[in-house]
Amino acid sequence: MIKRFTWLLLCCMLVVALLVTSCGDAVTDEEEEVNGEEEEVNGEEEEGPKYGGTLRVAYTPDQFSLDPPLLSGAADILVVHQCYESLTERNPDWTLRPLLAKSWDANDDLTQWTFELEQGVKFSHGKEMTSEDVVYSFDRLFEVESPFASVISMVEDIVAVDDYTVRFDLSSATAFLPDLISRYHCKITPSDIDPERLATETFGTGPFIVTEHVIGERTVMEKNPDYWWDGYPYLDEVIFIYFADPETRAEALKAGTVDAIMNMAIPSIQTIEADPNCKVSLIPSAMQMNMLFNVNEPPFDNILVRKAIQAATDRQAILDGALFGNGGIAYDHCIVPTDPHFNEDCMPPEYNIELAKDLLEQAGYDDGIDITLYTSTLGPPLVEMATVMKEKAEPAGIRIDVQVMPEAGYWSDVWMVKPFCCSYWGGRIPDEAFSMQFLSTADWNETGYVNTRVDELIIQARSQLELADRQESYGEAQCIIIDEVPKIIPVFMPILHGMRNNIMGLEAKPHGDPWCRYIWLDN
Amino acid sequence: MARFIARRLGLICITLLVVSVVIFVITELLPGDVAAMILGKEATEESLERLREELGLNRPAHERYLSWIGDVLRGDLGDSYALKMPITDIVGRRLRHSVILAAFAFLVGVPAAVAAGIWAGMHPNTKLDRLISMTALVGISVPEFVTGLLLILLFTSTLHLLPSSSIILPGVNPLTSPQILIMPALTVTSVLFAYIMRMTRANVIEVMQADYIRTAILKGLPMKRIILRHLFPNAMLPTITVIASSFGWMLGGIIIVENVFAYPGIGQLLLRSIETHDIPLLEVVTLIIAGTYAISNLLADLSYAALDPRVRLA
Amino acid sequence: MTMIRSGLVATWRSVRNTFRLIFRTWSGRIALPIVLLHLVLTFFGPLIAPYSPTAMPESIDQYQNLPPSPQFWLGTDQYGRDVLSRVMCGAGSLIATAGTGALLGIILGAVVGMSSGYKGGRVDEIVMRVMDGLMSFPTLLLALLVLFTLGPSRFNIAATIGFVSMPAIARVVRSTTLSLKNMEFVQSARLRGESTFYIIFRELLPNVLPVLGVEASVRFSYAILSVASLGFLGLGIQPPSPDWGLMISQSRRFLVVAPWVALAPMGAVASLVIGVNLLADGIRQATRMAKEDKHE
Repeated sequence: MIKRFTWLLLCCMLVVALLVTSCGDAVTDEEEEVNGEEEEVNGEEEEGPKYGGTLRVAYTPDQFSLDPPLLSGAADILVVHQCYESLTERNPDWTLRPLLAKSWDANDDLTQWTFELEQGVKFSHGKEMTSEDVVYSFDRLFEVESPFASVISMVEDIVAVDDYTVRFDLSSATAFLPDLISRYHCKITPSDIDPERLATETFGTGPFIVTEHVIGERTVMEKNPDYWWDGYPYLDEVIFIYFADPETRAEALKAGTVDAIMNMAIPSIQTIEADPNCKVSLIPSAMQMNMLFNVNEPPFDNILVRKAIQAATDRQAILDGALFGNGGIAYDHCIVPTDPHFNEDCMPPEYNIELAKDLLEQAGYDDGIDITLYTSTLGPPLVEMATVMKEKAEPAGIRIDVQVMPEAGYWSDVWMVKPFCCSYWGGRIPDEAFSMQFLSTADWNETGYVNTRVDELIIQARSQLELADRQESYGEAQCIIIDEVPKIIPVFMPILHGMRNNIMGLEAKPHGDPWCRYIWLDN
Repeated sequence: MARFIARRLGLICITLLVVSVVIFVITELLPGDVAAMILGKEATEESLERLREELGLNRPAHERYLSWIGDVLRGDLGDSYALKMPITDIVGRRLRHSVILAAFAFLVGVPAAVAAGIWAGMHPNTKLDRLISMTALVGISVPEFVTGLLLILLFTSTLHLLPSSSIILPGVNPLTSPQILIMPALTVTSVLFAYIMRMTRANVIEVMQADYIRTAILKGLPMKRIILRHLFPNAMLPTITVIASSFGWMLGGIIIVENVFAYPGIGQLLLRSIETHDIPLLEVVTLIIAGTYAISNLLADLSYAALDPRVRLA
Repeated sequence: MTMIRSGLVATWRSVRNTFRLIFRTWSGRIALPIVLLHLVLTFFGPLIAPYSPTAMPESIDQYQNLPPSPQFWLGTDQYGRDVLSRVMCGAGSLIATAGTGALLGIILGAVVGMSSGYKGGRVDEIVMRVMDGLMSFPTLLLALLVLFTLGPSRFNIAATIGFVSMPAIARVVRSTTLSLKNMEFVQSARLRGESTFYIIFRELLPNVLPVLGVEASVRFSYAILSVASLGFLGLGIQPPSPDWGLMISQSRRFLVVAPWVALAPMGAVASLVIGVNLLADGIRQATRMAKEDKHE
């Protein structure tokens, strides 16, 4: 019952997925339908996917360790996705599908979840995956203090009922557990491998196995010959090659040195599209860029200052200037307008210089205010966002000094250190997004924002089964957050991949992480 | 002679030692915690402490420096912080790439520059001389990144002849696809050509006015003979100095060229090690560049002495 | 006081003469208008620019990366800003930063070179070894290291440029000083019992000046190249200030779809350095001519 409900909910939740705006002519010709385990390709000619070949992917060298519960680098996450699997998985269209767990169920008050595991699935070193490994993986997640631990802190105990059944005992009701544990931190690792080795090697049940891993340079993955999905993967080999700057990645694609750029930088769109050998696949997503205040530090502890900056934010200009109009407008909270939980009744003010001036005067800054906005050239166009923000806020007397900081050290020395800086977040389901960013106890509550009512609403929504109830909880949370502005979230970014024309099965999906198991080469 | 070389080498060693201390001090002053940088956004205080312990970051600075320099003298360059590999492995390949690029540029640039310089010097103030001199002046004046991007616009965007970047995948020898070397080499050459050509031209003009050349011309010796026997050896002296020292200059100057074309050489490595605060790597790369620079200067002086019997090195 | 004034008068006279001579040379005649144009832009660029260099239009999407047109002579950039205005306003910061840097280098170099050369002995030996050490670094590498330590700001860039260009200048000035030191007029001044300061300022400086003039123009062109290169590597002036190097590196990704955004600052920086180098050529020829004039 609950399972079906979750399915339905998630299906309708992301109607976004239907907006496949692909600009390369090749992609639009062949609409691909990725549906559960089946993948159909309706090409003009009745041709199925082809097997074999090597896919070379250009990616950002953001990597530290391949150990699933400790993942943080974007490149590590992408590698781990190809080599490990979780109990559940989000389909590319963001619906939930069973993976290592073939089914699940909960008790009536949503405090106990039971998962039935697939049988006969083997880790790449030969061990069969059983409940023991699942319990081990989640115990370790809490033991090593994974950043995800705070998100699933309601999990009190994980019990191996039998070899193929696992039970999660929760301290508070959660309808979202199957969804939450699909995340990359919750990948299942074997219990018989020394955890030290997990940092550089992989022992997963996934379609690929890392055979060579040189940090900052490349990761070579070979097809897992015993992969438990029949007929997958198509590719023999996947190589991730790391280039530090987005221009280099684009150049490498144009030169044919690589076959694809996953999560390509937005400014590269035009030049890749202009190349007859390449195509781009793009879709709006729930990935956000934001400018965050430390709400406990002056002048940003003054809510009027924050509201003035909010009124001086030209969202459309940021969308055009930084994202070339790709993506969507955001309203200072993490819910996309296409999401059923989006509350239309609460909106931040439109870009309004007079209002901003007024608010600033009320806050006691009659002659305007001088502030510094820290940013960096990390993946998303944060510098561009800051540049537009500065220009558009200036007439209101909000004089922003944009400081571009080195990429190295941004997360340690700038983010959550400087009182006004830029950051970005991957797209998440409402519960997870709110829990990570706005819950006062969250590790990554980057603004230091504390509102007990918001906390209450987030927790309350977890156990609400009816969409209408959750709409109410999240709706109120949205209103409070818009009103108190702990951060400015002006835009949602698109997700996009650039690739050579012969790459098939790699399409941008609102779920950020591309699965290499669906990709094949049309040579 | 031997004493001169020994003394100069000694000086170079002292300079490099000072350089290494200076870089060490600079990196000490750099903001940012290396451990936090390595572990990234999601580091815990505990894991940070463990890593600092592992890297020996908790020891006092002078102790760390001494143990580092000791290892280096024993031939152990240590591991890169960010790339977690032995530095010898990383630097060796990158250095080879840079040397290949430099050699490529040299082979094209130097003969052309010397030939043009001699011709221009022998026919000063003619139209062609003006043209050559003007080209050289433009070559010196236009920054490498402008030359590089103009070449990309010409050869890639307009003519569709060459790839716009010179990316080499790890483990691939750049010589297997020499076309990727063309544009970076041309960019390096444009500056190199200008320097060497101007120097050659100036020397030729000077030598042409020397008495022995005038005598030779008055004696009615054939021009070919004058050029080969009298002009060339004398005019080439200072030029050789420039050529030798420009090799060292190139290893530093190609920082920009490598950046424009994404060519994975020592210059790119330098920028990356600075960006990631990879101190051991930064030290090694800087020492390599400074060392090459110093040694090529020494070679310049030696070649000068070898070619000119009047110069006695004491 | 009179001493300083008479020193300045002599200096000014030689500068004026040199200028007159520069204009007589071929390269000088080409160089002066170019350099003059850039100087005009430096001081009046923001006043005569048709648009604001940083302001963005109300609806950015309609003005993004437009090709050159009668309305926007050099097109517009990613934010719909007028490229021509940005190039015009970018001259100031580049020339001021590079100029300050070069000037700093020349002052430092002249002081170090003259005093070291005049003093001689052990001091000279040590100072020159230090200069050799500094010169064993490629300047860009040195600048990169210093800037990464200090962090990028206009002042830091200028100071860095000054610091890295000092040794070369000091060396040239020192060798000139050495040859001047034993000349009659210096010797007689010393016999008259003039102070070291007087001799350096009144006797040596005016004679070192021609060398310094050539060196200054060469250093200035190097300084421009360095500042632009640092900007290109992202270590120079921060956005959204219209810095040529930064503009080039930021518009590089649009090189294929909107080449004008990169071409305009590329042309600007190239023409500036060409102009300054031609001027250096002119000064060199002019000083040679001045010497010949004297002999006649």
